[in-house]
Amino acid sequence: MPTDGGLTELRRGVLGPCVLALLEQRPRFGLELVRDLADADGLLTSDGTVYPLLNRLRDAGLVTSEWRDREGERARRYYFVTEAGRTTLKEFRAEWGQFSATVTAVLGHSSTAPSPETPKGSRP
Amino acid sequence: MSGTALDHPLVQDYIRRLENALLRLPAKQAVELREQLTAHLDDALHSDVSDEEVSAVLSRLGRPEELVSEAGPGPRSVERPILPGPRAWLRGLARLRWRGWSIIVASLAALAAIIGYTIVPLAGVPLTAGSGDYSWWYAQDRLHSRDTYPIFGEDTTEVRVRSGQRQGLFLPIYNPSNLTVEVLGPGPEFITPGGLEGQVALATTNPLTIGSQVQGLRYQLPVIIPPHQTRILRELWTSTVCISPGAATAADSVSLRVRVGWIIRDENVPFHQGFALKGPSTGQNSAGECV
Repeated sequence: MPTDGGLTELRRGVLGPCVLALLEQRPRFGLELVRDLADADGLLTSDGTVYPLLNRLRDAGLVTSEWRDREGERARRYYFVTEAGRTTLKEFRAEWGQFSATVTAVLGHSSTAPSPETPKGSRP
Repeated sequence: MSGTALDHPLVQDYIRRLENALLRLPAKQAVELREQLTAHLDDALHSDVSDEEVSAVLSRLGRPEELVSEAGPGPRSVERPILPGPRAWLRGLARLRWRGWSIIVASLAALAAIIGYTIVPLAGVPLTAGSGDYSWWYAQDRLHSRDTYPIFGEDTTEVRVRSGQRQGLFLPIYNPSNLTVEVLGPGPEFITPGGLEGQVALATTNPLTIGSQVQGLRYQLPVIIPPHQTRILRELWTSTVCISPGAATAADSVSLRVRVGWIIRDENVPFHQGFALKGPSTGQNSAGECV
């Protein structure tokens, strides 16, 4: 069974809400956001995919961005979560709790179920 | 002139592949993704980074073709973000009370502000040449330059054209508007005094606030010019022209492509002082002419 393919799709599906959650904590610029996502082990397949995702979240009105020019530093584009993004994240959190509990329960049940074909041992 | 990590050959190769891949995207998306990825590299890499570190950062960033594919229209391997669907919107509208309607009114006000944000830049004040030093980039040109050459009826600084060699100029560019302006690159009419092929870049910081020499600043594109701030513009080129004794070629403006809000437009920024290359040429161009 190609388990990695399934995990990759799952990872991609939750990356958007994870980006919203990080931006809900505080605004971040691109590399900062990428590094925080990378710290969450196994969440990112490649750093660059965050940027197309950010642009789609922005197009959906869930994220906005603004240039900030701090003294002595180069200007950076900072990303913020919008009110619509907070609402979407809240809905996702509510659904995710139930969803992950269901998946955990099913997976846990499957792993403890005995296999009917398990050999009982053999005589010499 | 200071090198940056973006000048590293591996990064340059990556950016070339990215530029090719970006041709598949609409211009606005392409500019945005390019800016995001180059800013990422600029932040992730220091100027004295090793080849191994550059390779590691580029590898983690992902292949340009795949990143463009993620951003492009059509089927994508990445799922769209989880969004409320039409039914959720309808359910929400049905439950609306005074608070909900207040949000709608606020949203409409925000929409009006966004429209204003889109329209105002159309009438925005264009960039201008700033006050400060106008000069030649290379020391040998600065040493031998002579002022007040009245080609345009204004002060002009002139030097001998060094055909086949690098020459350049710099001057301050000022954003007089109340809107942030992002300089994306050369405009369609961009041309240097010494030939068609040239580079333009702007300093990333305001020299008036850090007091550095212009050669010590970091130059790149795109660059943000916040309202009422100045950035040094640098043009570099290899002089391909041959100029006869007594003749001259000159520039008194620069064509730039800029973004204000969501509007991308081309601006021609006139200089307060012209830059002239005069003959006879010293050296020879790539065709072996001039000498």
